[in-house]
Amino acid sequence: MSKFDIDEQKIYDMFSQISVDSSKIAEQVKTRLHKENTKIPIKNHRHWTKSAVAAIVMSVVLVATATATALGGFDWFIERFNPDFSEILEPVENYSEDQGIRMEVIGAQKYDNRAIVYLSLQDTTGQNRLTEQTEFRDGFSVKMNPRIIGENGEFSTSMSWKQKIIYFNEDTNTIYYEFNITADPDSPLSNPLELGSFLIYFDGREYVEEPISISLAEIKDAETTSIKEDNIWGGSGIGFDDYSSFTEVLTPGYYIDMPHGEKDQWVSNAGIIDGKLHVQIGRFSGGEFGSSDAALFLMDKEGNLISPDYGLILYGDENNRLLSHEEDDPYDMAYKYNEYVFSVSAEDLNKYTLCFNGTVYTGVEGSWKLAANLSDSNKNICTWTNDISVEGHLFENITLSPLGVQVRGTYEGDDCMASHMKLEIETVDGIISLEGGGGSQNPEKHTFNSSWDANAPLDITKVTAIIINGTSISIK
Amino acid sequence: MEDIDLGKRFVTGGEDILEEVISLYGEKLLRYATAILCDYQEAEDIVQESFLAAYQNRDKFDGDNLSAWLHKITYNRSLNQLKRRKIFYFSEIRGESVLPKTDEGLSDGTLRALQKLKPKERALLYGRIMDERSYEELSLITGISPPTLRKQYQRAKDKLAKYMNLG
Repeated sequence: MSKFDIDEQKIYDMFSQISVDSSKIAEQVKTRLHKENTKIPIKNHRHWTKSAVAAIVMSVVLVATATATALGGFDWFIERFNPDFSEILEPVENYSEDQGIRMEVIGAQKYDNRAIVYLSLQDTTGQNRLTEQTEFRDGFSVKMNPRIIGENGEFSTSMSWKQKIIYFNEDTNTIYYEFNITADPDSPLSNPLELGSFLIYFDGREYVEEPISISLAEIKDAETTSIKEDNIWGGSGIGFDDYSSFTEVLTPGYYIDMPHGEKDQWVSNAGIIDGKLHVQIGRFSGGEFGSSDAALFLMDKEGNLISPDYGLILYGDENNRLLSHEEDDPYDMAYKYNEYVFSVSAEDLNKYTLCFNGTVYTGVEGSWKLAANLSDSNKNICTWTNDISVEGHLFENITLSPLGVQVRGTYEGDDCMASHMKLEIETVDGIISLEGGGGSQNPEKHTFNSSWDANAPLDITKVTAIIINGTSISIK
Repeated sequence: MEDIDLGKRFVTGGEDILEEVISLYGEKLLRYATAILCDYQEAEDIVQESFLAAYQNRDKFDGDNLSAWLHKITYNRSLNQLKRRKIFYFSEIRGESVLPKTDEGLSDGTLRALQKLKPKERALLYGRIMDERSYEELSLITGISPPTLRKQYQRAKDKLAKYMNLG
C-alpha cells in the first residue's frame, strides 16, 4: 500500500522531475574554501560591514516610527526614507482618489526608459482596508508609447518593475512604495510620466481546517444531474482519461452558507451517491476578488484528515445548466462548481466533521490615474553601443544613468542568463556593485533587455568602466 | 544511510570529512534548494555556499542530526537569496509569456505549478514528501512549531494539488 495519498503521490512525481548533477560540488566547494582562506582579512571586513549596515537600517526604522505621526510631503518623505536620492528626484505630490483610496506620487525621476517612483496609497474612509500585503494587482500601469514594428503594424511593448514597501503607517493607513521601472526600448515611457491602476489588492483572509456546519449523519441520497465527459472542465485526484466514467453529479443549487459568510461562495449540494459522500461547492465564476476554491476534507475526532478521493470541476450558466466544452463560451459561465467525493461508509458519517481550507481575497476595482511632469533629465545619461561578448551574451546597447544600467543584447544557446550576471561599475572613487533589476527576453529572437539598479544615484561623470561577470567594458 | 558518527567527525574533521559529507548530502541539498528556488543555477550556488558555511562554522554544530543542520543552512540561505531576487515581471501585451527564469532541472509545467507556491511551502512539501521528515525534524530546520507546520503542510498540499490538477 502506498504511503502517499493521491495528491502526495503527484507531488512526489513532480518533485522527482528535478534533475541535478552534484558530481562537481565537492570540487567547487574546496576551490571556494581555498579562495576564502587566502582572503581572511576581507572576510572579517565583510562581517563588520554587514553589522554596520544592519545598525543603520535599524536606526532608519526607529526614526521612521518616531516620526510616524508627523507626516509631510516630498521633503518629509525623502529626508527620512531615501536621502541618497534627494538630489535627483523631483517632487510631484500629485494624487488621484477613487473608491476611498488615495494614490499619490510623492516624487519621481525618469531617464530614457527607466524611472524611479515613490508612491503612496492611503485609505481615506477610516476602514483601514490597506495592509502590509496590499499591492497593485495586474492593473498597475505605466503609459508607454510603443513603436510600430513589422509590416502589419504590429507593436510589442513590455516593462518590468521592482516594487518595495518602504513604510506602512498603521495610524494613517498609508503604505509607501518605491518602484524601479524599466520599459522596453521599443516602447519609451510617456512624457509626462503617466501612472495608473485599476485593481488594488488589500489582503487574503485564510481559512484553515474551518468546520462547515453540516450534520453529515443527516445527509441522504441527493438529487443528481446526468453529465457527459464534455461537462467536466477539470478535476483533482483523477486523470483526464477517466472523465468518461463519470455519469452523474449533484444537481447544483443552494444548500448552506460557507462559514466565512461571503455571499460569493456557498455549499451548493451534498448527498450520498453510490454509497459515497459527495459535497459540491458553488461560487461565482470570474471576478478579481472574493473566495478562492475551497479545498474540502473530513476530520475525525482525533484531528486526522481524510482527503477526497477525487474532485470534479463544472461550470453552470445563470440557470444552473451545466456547460460543455464543445458548445459553450467560457465567458458565459456564471458559476463554478467543485464537487468532492469521499469514500467513507454512510454509517460512519457521524464520526466526521466536514472542513475546508480556502482564502477570501479583498481588494477594490477603480481608476487611479496620475501624471508626473518631470524636467528633461536625459542629458544626464550616457548611451553607447559595443560588441562585448560575455559568456555567450552579446552586450550591444548600454545605457548608463544615475538609476543604474540598462542593456539590450542577444544571446546564444537556449537560456538567457544576462539578468543573473554580476554587474559592477568602476568609478574614479572605486567599484560599486549594482543590484539585479527587471528585464525581459524574447526566446524566438534570442534578444534580451536587462537592467541593474543602483542603491544610490550614480554620478555618471565619474564612471570609467562597466564590469560584467568580471569582463570590463571601458567607457571612453 | 547516514553514518551516525559522521556529525561528530565533521565537527573535528578536515577536508576529507567535508568531502564525505558532500558526497552524502550534495545531491539531496541540491534537489532541496532547486525545489525552493525553482532555479538550478542559483541552487548550485546556494548549496556550495551552505557546505562552505557549515564547514567554516562546524565548531558551532552540536554533532547531532547533521542532515537537519545542513538543510537548515540551505533553507535559510535559499530564503535570503529569494529576498535578494524579488523581481517582478510584466508580460508582453501580445501575450508572449515572459517567465522570470528558465530552468534546466524542471519542466515548464512543473516550474509554473511550483512557482505559484510560497518558497516556504515548497520547502515544507519537499521535506515531508521527498525527505520524509517528521514535523519535529522540520521544526528544527524552519524554526516553526510542529502544529503550525502540520497546518501549513495541509494547506500547501491542497494548493499545489489544485494548481497541478486544475491547470
